[in-house]
Amino acid sequence: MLDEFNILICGVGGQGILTLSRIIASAVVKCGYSVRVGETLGMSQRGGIVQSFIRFGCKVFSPLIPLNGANVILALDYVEALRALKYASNKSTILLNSSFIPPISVVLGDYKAPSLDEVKSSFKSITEKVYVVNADEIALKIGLPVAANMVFLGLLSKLFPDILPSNVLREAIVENVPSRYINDNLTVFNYGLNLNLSE
Amino acid sequence: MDPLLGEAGLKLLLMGNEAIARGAIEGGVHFVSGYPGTPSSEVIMSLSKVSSKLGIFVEWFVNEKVAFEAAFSASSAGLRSMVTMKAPGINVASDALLSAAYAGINGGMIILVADDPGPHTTQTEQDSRFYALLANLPMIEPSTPQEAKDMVVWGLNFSEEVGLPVILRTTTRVNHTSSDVILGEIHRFDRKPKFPRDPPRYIRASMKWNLDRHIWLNKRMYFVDSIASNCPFNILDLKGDIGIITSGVSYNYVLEALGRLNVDSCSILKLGLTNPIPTKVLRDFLSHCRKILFVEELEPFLEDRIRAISTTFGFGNVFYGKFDGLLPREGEFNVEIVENALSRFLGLKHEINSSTISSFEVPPRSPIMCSGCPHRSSYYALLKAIRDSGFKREDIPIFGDIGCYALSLQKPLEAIWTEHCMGASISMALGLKLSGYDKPVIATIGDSTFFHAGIPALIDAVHFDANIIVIILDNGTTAMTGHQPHPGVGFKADGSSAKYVDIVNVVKGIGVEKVEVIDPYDIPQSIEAFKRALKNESSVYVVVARRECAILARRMGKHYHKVSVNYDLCRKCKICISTFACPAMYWDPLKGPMLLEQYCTGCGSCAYVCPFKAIEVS
Repeated sequence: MLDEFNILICGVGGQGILTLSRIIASAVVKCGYSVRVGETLGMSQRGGIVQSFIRFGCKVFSPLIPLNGANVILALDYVEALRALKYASNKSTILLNSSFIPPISVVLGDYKAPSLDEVKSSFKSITEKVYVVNADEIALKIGLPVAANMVFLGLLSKLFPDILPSNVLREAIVENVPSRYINDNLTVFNYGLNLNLSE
Repeated sequence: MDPLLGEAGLKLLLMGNEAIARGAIEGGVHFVSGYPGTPSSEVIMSLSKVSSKLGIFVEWFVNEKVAFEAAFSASSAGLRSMVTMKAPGINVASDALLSAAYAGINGGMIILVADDPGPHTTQTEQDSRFYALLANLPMIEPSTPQEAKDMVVWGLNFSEEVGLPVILRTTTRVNHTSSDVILGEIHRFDRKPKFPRDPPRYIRASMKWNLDRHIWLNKRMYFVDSIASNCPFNILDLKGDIGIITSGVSYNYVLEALGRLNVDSCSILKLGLTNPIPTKVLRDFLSHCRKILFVEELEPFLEDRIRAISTTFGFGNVFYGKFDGLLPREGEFNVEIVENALSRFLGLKHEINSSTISSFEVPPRSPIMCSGCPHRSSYYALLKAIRDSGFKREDIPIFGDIGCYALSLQKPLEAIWTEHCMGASISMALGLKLSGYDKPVIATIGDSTFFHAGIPALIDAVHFDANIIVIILDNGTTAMTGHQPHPGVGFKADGSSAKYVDIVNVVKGIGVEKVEVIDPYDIPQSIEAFKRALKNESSVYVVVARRECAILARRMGKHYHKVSVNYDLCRKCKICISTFACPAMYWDPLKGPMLLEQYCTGCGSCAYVCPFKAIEVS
């Protein structure tokens, strides 16, 4: 049994982060782990920052991931990933969506947003395992523009098949997604599961 | 099937608030009331989905005081009840709370108050545990969702056993943490409400009775203390003579930090019942430990009292905690903060600091009003009306209130001057006017907030014939906390229909003579209405800006118009962004304004904002 496994999902309100973390957490409960999910809720619907901490294993108590303690950082918005940098270590796997939703501070011209390459290199200086995924494009190509989160879920299962087995994740999708979206979500999930990663 | 109805023994993922809701079901609750407030709202939101199936009354009330009094009455009549609120809500309900302690209850009653160390979504970091001392009532504090569920069941039984309401005090990191929770048996109690006719208990007009009830209450709390050590949520782990006293979510940080430090020798007293502090368990701990660290968020609530108890009984302990600065009184804890405090307390040379700091500045991402939000249009029109009427912005105070519209504090509108507490926009505008301020003063308040606490202030404004402008931003919901209904909408918590209380009738009924209703999406009409209000020279002027919340409209599948940018007319002045900044409009440095179709609700307000008519509505 794992002592501890920590997944940090970050992005912006409306990207399906809370659904994604609920699917992962209910799947690991099925696998027999003790789990804690700490979330930023509240004003997330209003274009705010969303961070979800999923922790599981037999030595997990706190709902917050310790500094440098993330096994995975999954960013649905690559600029938001930078806010999670302090949780990364040389053991972390970083999954970056290639898209970015500009916050009002950038739109008004008060701040400049770092580029995808800059974000990537920030993480590269910490860990080898940094991957960029065109999840929005993939989801759009399949015809489900809001299902980018499922691309990442498939990828997670591909990268960590023993910890997050695809059959359990599929069950969790069925239980946590409104019935009319289940098949679409499973399609995108399978696509993510078979995706070839390049760094 | 709804997880709240799952069979006993099942292990499920539940959020803390869902676990509390399940606990209420297991504990046989009959009556649940509350007012929405983060991080407490999901308790009623999840209960209302199963309430009709279980025959439980579950409802949102107009404010926390009314919700409290209704639940108290149900429990007086022998039913089991629960009332839910965020931290400031207990301030609103506190008048009723103190009298309820003198009366006691017959059916078990849980008062859920959700504090917000951080703070994440609350105006102050109030430590509501002091209400347990003020009212002299038992209080329990869970560390995890599992414990939160179990505590509700235990608390309902305990409340009934001791005849007093029990405060369940949580913090955001319990309410909003999801965890594996094992379900227990569901109990139902078939009870008919009967209010006891017992004047000394329920009439606070006789001073002799009040004195008697005060004596009664204190005796009850001595009795509570005598059985408090049986509370299964106090965990006494005696090891070495160096000890830690903790409660609530901090217990998790202590366990994890000790594990990370490889320290196994500390004794731990984790208190589940934190008022009264269980004397017997505490004495066992104080006599066992020489040196003790308190790990509790916010105020030194346990620390203050336990220091006093230790001194009184001469245990001679040496205490560490807030007074020596080992742990802060502000903000929420995490493993690192507790780990650093523990290593200093234990004399270990170990300090954690994050070594990974971004070399790039991360642009701030403040929460903003949604695309198509009618409040943005209302404030835009108001600011324009102020300018067009020849006033300087800094001369016309706009008092704000609690709700999404407080996000008008952000650029580019930067509209509101205050956001104080529920309903304060009208009273503060009134106070300034009555102080002799000779220019217009404006209060802006949402519909749910108006019902909650705005009405009394408006009555005084009419009564004093004060020349203030009150703008009621009526989006037909309690949007900020997740779209709960209120009396101004035609349905209840479970979605069934309810009588609709029209704000315009309320305002007129109070005696306001100048009332206008506008549609914020009609910006020219709104500007004219606000200009008339600014010209008004006597008595109260109310403008009701009425348009449904953009999130609700989107959920209902509404798309108002087709909006597009005509690049032949666009002069790239960026006024659409610099004065309005709807998130459905993005500025591309090369192309200029870009409409983000997936966010645009088609409200068409931006078309008015463009001085060159380059934004077209069809």
